[in-house]
Amino acid sequence: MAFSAYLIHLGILACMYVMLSMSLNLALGFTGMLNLGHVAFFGIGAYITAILSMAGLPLWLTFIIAFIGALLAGILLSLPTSRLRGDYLALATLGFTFIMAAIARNWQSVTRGALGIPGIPRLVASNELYFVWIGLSTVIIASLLFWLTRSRIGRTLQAIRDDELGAMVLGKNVFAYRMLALAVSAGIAGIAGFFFAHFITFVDPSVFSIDDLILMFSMVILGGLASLRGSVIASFIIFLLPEPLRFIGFPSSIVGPARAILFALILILMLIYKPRGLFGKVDLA
Amino acid sequence: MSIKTVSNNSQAEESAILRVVDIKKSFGGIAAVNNCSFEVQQGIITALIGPNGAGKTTLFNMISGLNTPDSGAMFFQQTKIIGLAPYQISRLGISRTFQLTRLFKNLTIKENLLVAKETSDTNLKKILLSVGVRKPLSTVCSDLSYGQQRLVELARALLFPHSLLLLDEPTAGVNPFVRQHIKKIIKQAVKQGTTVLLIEHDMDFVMSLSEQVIVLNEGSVLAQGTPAKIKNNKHVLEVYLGK
Repeated sequence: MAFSAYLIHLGILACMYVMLSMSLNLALGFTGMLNLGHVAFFGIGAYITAILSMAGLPLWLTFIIAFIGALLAGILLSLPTSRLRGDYLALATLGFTFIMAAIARNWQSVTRGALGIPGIPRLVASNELYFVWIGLSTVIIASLLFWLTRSRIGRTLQAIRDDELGAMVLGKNVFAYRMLALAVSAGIAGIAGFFFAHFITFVDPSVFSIDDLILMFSMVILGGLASLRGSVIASFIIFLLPEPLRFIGFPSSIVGPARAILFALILILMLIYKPRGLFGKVDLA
Repeated sequence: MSIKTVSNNSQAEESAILRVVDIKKSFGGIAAVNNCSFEVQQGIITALIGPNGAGKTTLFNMISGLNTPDSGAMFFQQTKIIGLAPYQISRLGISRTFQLTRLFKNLTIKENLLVAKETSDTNLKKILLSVGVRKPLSTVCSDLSYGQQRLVELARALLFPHSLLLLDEPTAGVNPFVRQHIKKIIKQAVKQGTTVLLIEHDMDFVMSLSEQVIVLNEGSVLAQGTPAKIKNNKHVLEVYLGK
């Protein structure tokens, strides 16, 4: 019984990472935007959920505002970074993550700073039901992303990734498409933040952690750029792979770093032997 | 041979699909295009020739909106195009290819063509065959040979709704057979109502295909006229053909 509860716990968090990696893949793999701000959108969604839930707003409204809040943050980020590409975009979006973390730490009247926001009400009483909710939401989001990436819009995003000038001279508004990709990607990360806040029932500035960002990137790279199927499978692999370490009997001081070493090892081996990832269609370069 | 400059002749302006007026463009103090003016008449093939560095591709980039001129004006079908974004200019009806092919290399031939225009598989196959590519639509473009990539890029440019087609060295790096095929495709496009402005270094290709030739030198128009006149132009022979 306890083991099944553990599995459900893992399943809930894995679904959350599926949402995060698929949405990151939309910006990174399909549109070619090296966005290191993805974890910030997740944090924004989590904080909006925490603050509004504690203020007594109904669940559905919190969900919508968490989604729209993160989506607007994506639009906001896309405006000053519209002319940046590659490493420059990566640095600017990483800066955005640091700014969001700094706001969470220092705007104490709203975020309670480093103390975080505890006691966020649970979405539903049982984890089993929560798993059903997040599982259904993940399936719906995955379906929408599958549809989007196979639509005319998805094709244009991939064209922009491959050659912006080529897309421009075919009448494509590259700025608008990149903004759309970042906004949708951010909005979905915000939804993941919503589920995280209601599941863990506590949010603090560590939601903007670079470790989580590395985890998301590892999932996208392992699964393959521009492959949603790859992101889904890699999310489960990467999230569940270190779990057996818990049962070996190592102390937590070893399990933590061992997980990080394992992720790094997977990434290095993939980059050397299978740079397109498991199902990727695009070279990482 | 007299050097033709853009005049106030309203009749000529009306038949011009593209008017370039006193365009200047410098890069870091070096003038790439300098007081350049010419007109491209509707429904014909006009070639833009000149030595390397004459400003031909810079002009193409300015017509497409990829570069902004420092001064001057450009009109496409009487619409001022300077200041418009590249996607807005192309939507007015200007399609182009590049000196180095700019296919979406991770996409299939079909996906590349569909980015230009949504149409049926039957139409896509038809246009692909018309440029002489007999590969399945599902072929990923990075798997094509260079010559085939050029032809697919040409097919994509032809498929995009346009009235003016800009071709930047369409025969560069392709074998003589493909070169002849490209010539046929261009002639066919003009028959169907397209106006073509092309940059080309292959003089035989230019002289046998074009109805008008504009010669650029150091960013300015050195001469403009029919191929026969250009061939005998003293200035052109001195500066460009080296005779």
